[in-house]
Amino acid sequence: MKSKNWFVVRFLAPAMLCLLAIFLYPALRTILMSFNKVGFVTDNMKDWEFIGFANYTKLMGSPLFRRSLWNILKIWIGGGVVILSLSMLFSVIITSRIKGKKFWKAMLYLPHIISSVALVTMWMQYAYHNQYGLFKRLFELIHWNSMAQFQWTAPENLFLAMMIAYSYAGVGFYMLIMVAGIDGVSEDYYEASRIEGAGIWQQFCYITLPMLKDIIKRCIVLYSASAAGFFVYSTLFSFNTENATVTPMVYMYEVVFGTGVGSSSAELNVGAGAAAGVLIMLVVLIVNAVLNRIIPSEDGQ
Amino acid sequence: MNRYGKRKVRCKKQLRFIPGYLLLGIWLAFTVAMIGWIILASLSTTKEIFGNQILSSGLHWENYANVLRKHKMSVYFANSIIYSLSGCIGIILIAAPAAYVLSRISFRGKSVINNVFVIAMSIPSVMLVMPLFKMATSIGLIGSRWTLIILYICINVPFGVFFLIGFFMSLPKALEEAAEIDGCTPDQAFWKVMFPLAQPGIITLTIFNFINIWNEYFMALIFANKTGLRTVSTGLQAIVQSMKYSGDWAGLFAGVVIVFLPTFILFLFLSNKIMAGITGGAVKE
Repeated sequence: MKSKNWFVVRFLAPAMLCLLAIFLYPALRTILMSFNKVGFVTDNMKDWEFIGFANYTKLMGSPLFRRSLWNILKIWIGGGVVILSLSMLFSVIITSRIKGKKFWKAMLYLPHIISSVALVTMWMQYAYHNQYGLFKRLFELIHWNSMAQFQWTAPENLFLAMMIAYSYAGVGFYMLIMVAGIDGVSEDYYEASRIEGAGIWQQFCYITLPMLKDIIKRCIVLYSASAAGFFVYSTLFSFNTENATVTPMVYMYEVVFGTGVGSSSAELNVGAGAAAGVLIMLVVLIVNAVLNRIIPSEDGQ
Repeated sequence: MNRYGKRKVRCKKQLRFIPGYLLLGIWLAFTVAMIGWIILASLSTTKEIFGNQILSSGLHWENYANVLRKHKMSVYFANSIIYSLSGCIGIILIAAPAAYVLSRISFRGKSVINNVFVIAMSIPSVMLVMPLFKMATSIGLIGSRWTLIILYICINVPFGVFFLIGFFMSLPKALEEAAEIDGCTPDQAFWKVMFPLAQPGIITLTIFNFINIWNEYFMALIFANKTGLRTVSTGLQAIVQSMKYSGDWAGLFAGVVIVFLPTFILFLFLSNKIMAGITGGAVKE
């Protein structure tokens, strides 16, 4: 019996150690940090100065942080509607017995396995380029001159450009999950509804959608978590020169690790960065709780 | 067997899929145009790229030599290989024994530990990086490759445990009993019998981890801020930023190709395994 316990401890210890050292301890320390004034990220805990909720009130008063919240809201809702409805549409098309199902799945999923930096470089240095860009050439070809002249990378259009690139890369992942969900729905339902004379649209509304309730909820949860950490596209699109694409994560990075480009970061301390992190996590938790309320699970998870 | 129709009226039935094919076709055309052009442009000169005449003077492989040497892509590439391979091995060595114990041996506190792993998976990395940076500084790991290697291993362990538990559960219980009767210690039973049997799961997880680590950006940005330590992602970003001064667009596109080619090739050969792993992991959760 003793040897069994020893065996369990030995096999679990490395994983438990990394759980404690890399996840639980840092997460707790970040929460504590958000209530303190901290000069540098490398300061010891005894050099912290407890200031209660001051970091949070300061954050809310900062125009740049409020801008980042507004941006992330736009990204979350806009990107969510576009990405999830496109992946729904594609997953219905792919499961409708068209030819080459595996090929289309792989094609849609492909951007997800390519490095975001490489993808964004493709978009910025080719697709959106204002001299030899793909879109420019395409619109010239069909003589739609106003669109050919469209400056995708101008500051006022950067947000739109970023969202298109983000959606292109995101669709494949949720499509895969939805396809797996639709494949799990019994063929009999579709057979029966067809005999009753239902069209594709009716089948979608009355069979696919209700049967996929749990899957759709899971997709929204996964999407919300990834949107909350929206960082790569934002930093790669904004060049750190203006704030059109700033998100809370970028704000945190600028405050804590940044080179001090944003003038507002000088007045803040690292504790404010921690507070931004805590807020991001809280929002994700709240979204999950609300979703669980709105869309109750069938299997009571 | 048609989901919405039968064989007899096949032609007519295929007609109603035309809008679907059209949408997929547009998406495909765009993907092929973008990636294809990047590959062609990486073999042209910068002048040809701006003059809309890519490839007009033959293949310029020297772009690749340039980006590898002058823009240090070879250093970034070697770093990413080191991070990805050691990360993949480390994750398996830590996660597989833990997943085995959590899936096949009953002991007190097991469900609590299981739940803690699931909770850890949902903590966003923004909550972790600041104390981790402090810890890495305290033990003098900043400026060493070990920082990212250790982080990439540990960050991915909870998902690895969660993913492998499913595979170990599916193996028959009689295996360990047989191993015990043959005189194996529990350790031997694991490494010689169970570990090899869980190979399909371990391989899927490893491909998945390799792609994740190869493409990781946030941690690399914070913990590998010197040229010698950069990954392909942060390295490519540095090349993009220096483009304003060097103006070597052909070299930049060669860099893009070098960054996406390894995962792209993996995907070409193993797309089924990768996609099955994604849906398995996400749907089981």
